Amino acid sequence: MGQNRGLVFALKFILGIVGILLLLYSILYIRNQLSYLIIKGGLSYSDIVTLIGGIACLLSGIALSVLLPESLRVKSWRPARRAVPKPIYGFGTVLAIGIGATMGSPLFILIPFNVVEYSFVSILSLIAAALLTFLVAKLYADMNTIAIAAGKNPVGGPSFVSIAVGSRSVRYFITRVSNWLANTTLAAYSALLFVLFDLRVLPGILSKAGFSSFQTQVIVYIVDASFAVWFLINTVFERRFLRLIGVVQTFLTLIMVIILFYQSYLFGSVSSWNFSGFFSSLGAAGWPIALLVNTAYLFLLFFGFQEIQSLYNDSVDRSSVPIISQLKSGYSMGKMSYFRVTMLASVLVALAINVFYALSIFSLHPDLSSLHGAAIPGLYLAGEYLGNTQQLITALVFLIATFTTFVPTFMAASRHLGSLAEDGFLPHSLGRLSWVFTLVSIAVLVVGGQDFLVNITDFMMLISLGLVALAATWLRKGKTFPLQRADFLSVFTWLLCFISAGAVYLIEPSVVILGVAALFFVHLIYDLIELGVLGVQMMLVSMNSIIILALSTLNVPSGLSSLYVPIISITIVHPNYLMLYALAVAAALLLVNLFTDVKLLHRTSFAR
Amino acid sequence: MSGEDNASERLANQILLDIKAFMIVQESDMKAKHTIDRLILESHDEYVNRFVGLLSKKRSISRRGHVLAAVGELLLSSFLIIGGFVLLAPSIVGLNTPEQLYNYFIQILAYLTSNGPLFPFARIMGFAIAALLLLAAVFTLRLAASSIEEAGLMVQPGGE
Repeated sequence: MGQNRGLVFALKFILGIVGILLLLYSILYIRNQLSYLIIKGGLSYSDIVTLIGGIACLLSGIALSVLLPESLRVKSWRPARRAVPKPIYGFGTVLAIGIGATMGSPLFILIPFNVVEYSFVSILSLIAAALLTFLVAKLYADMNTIAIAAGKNPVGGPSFVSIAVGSRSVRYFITRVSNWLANTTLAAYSALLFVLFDLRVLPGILSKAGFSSFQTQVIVYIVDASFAVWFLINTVFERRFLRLIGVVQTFLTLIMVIILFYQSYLFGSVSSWNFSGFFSSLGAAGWPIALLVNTAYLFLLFFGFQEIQSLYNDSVDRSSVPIISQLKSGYSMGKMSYFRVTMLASVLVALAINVFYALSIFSLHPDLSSLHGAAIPGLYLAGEYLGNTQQLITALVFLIATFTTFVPTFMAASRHLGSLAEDGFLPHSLGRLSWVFTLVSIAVLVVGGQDFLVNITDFMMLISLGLVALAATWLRKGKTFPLQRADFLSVFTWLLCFISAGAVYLIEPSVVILGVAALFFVHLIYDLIELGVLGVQMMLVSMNSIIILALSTLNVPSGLSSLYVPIISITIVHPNYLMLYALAVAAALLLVNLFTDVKLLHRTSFAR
Repeated sequence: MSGEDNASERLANQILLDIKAFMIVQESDMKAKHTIDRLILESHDEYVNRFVGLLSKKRSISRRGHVLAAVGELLLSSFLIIGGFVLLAPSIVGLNTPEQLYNYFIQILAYLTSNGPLFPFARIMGFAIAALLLLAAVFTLRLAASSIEEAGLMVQPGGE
């Protein structure tokens, strides 16, 4: 038996090596195929089939290359023990973090464009988006009460779905992954705005404010360094500096809110609150559609409230309430009550600031084309109408908004991936590196551009929150149908979320198509995970076979005519032919591995 | 033969007789199926449940049959995935005009009719996949039959 195991080890080693070669080839192939497609501009049937072939080869390569370590040790994916948190946060901090996460840097871009173009309809859209968020926040609070009463520990919105339908459910998986995707894209958007601000806007503002070139350079470096330090404290030393994070977040949010109110007041004063033409957008045909579309577009400005839910374990059981506890001595609130209040309050505060800011900007009647020319319209308007000093102060608020948005969304995204690892969907080793994966995803998504990031964030978050809203019904009775009167709020909110998500199609159809494709892909990943290791290998064999059939009917090579392999400096003349053989080899080797696992190693009960 | 074996055989024979008697009664009694569902299949008695589990372990098709059915379903899902992507691609890249869509779909036929140098491969693979799909279809149908039975969609003797 020992000798046999040695032979099997050698065989698996060879399979692993070939797998790595296939993996490298497919990466090269896909990269070249995509470059070719970008240059060519169109897409044909053969391009799709060859691209799917490349992806299948890549997956086969991965499946083969992980065979060696996977086959030699018995895996045990035990659920990770969650660190026991030490409750620190109270009402004030939770509310500040909620407002900070909700009020972000996108405010300085989305609101000026939207209110100048749509005036009254834009304000209505802000109210509609806030109302939708308010309904979701109410459901969060209701579900929190049910979950706690049932002895569960809900951390983050998707955990409600997990509690309602089980952590191995596809509904939970889709909710969690789409929430991760939405947070990652929002973090990518914030990062993109920060880079724009840091490289293009801030030096100009500083030089206009009278700073020398050297001083400007130093300030930019200080801004970068503080961003990096704040990011590190939050990601790596979160638990150690939990109290400090709470204090700083409260302080920053307070400054941001005060300055935003003050500046909005200044904007309005400059123009003497001139609202001429405010209702003109109502006269335009199709304003209800514009209302729906803008509601979806501006939803991004509100959903940050749900960050509060993830603080549940870090919060004290009873907390005093600022001002009220001073007025009424000894007054305090239970955890469930103040979580409900802070969630709803953060949405209302965000609505008040957004509407006030939007109204003040509209009263300026700025030229839309000049806004389009500005990198960050909010900063441009401050400089144009309030002067250099106020522009500098706005830059500070923008910086605070970036700090209070990027870091919480990044943390939320990392936590979502970590939760997937805890639920056994990802290996724990990958779960521990969730922040690295999120960071890499952000770097990749930044390429998508501002409009794409805003729309995909809205779409994925609306889908995710729609499912979370429906979880209130599932929590109550375990299924959706038959509907009862008590399900009204949950089903109504779900419907509004999904209709708003669909409305994104009217802004950018490709986002919804890509979003739907992403949801399908998430479902596919879930199914592959459920198939298990051998099931995935069988699936890859069948996939490769079908692609070989499809490729054989093509008059390949059709498109990509040569492939240069760096390091070994070889040019492959017919990469599509080689891909076909690579797929055949991968399928054969996967079959060999299946035979080895089932018949020789008896790793299944099939041959027993 | 030991005494225990005798006892179990005697009990099994008795059950067998009761089953036969029940099936005869069931032909004229429409409620018989519901009674057996209520008393045996939906029972909360541990021994009854274990007895049902003992019987249900016997599969309607063999393990190899299950494997073949799974292979067929995997092949079918691969077809659907590739077909889905081929149909989704025009929407993703924004082929919106009738001409663009026509050209895209007509290309598929054009590629299929062009006899490429790898076409012999296509014949062999086509035959192999078709044979596997047909074989899998037989076993999948048998799985469907048991699913239909479990769903209670079989016409009961004695029914109207």
